[in-house]
Amino acid sequence: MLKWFITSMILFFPLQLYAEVEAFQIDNAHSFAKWQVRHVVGKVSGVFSNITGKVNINRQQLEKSQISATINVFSLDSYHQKRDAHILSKKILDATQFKFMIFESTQVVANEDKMSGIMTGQLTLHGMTKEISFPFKILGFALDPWQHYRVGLQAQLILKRSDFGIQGNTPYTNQVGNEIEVALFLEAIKLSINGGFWQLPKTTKIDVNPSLTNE
Amino acid sequence: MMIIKRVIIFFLLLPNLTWAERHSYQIDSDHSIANWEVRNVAGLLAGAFHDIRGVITIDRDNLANSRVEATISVYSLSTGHHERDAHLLSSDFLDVLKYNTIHFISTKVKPNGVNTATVEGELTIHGITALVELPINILGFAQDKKGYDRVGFEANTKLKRGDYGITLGLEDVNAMIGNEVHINLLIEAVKPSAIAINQTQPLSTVPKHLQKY
Repeated sequence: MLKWFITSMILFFPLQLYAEVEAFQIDNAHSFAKWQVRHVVGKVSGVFSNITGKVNINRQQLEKSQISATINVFSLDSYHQKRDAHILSKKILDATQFKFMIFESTQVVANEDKMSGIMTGQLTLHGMTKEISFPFKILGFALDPWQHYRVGLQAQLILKRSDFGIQGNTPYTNQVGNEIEVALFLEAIKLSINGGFWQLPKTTKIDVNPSLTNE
Repeated sequence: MMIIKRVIIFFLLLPNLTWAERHSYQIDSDHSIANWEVRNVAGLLAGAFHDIRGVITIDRDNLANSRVEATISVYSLSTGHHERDAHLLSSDFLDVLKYNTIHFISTKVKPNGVNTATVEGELTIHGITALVELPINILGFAQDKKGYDRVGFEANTKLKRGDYGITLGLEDVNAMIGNEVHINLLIEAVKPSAIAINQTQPLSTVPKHLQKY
């Protein structure tokens, strides 16, 4: 373990110092856009689990970081097939016409800790584009069992569905809230210069709990 | 005729008089969900259990007089990735073949205000029972479009999976999967008559997409 610690220190310190921008690819198996909305008195929640895109992180100057992400609307799951079908229908998200939600960041304001800040960008949802701003947090960086390097990100925001023309023309109009609480959990894998996944050089050996590798 | 009418009216009023403001609601599993998040490598892995059943008895004048019992089907786990669901349900983690339900029964309700309370109770996960405290927010009482009385709750808490014997990878200092699990419970419950059909269905068992594992 100590050996690994020392080797990784030697390996990563120069990387962190010289590589200004690190490019990461969003891992859609480990990324989630969860949402909650008021229903009558309770809250119903669901998730979009197919998120793709790129995250460029500049750790020295976080404000130079960028993110672009696309969510496949059909990856919606509210754990109830009839409701999913209803949400995807013309009455709400109209998924056949608007298959993707797209977010492109335009500005990042970093906090002092350089691990969090406020992100501003253009969100396209239901065919309408709006500027949104929200606080985000870098949860951390770590090596996974396949010697790939990962970053974790978290963000929380509130969207008004009426801003995106989703009026919810349904018999339950006044029973479903306008405000959607969104919680984003992203995990992204570092890319190397040639576009593939960056990998810890094979010469270094790492102890990995074997049971964790066969997911 | 008059007497019969009066007798009927008396019996109709009787339950209302004796139980005053104590009402039973059944958890509406279509509108209830247990969301959770746990650290995985660098990010947070989000999942949910969506089949929750149970009865909530509420005394709005005296919340301390309320109680709740709920059961979650472990098979209703979903993380948006079938292979991962199967792995989480295996004996590596939740061991669903042995422990197919998560069970909660309240032992004490401590009101903190008009619409908040701390519910103490016994939580059984993975065959291990532990005492937990759930801070609960009552989101409101209302009638839905069909005229059924509904009540909504939200609760946020943190559990340690190690406390329930789900320990894979915990002994490793650089564990890929965290010990602390964030829980977000969203519960909507309805006066029994409304969802009689729904509730008579048994708890969900092995879903189709997991049968091959």
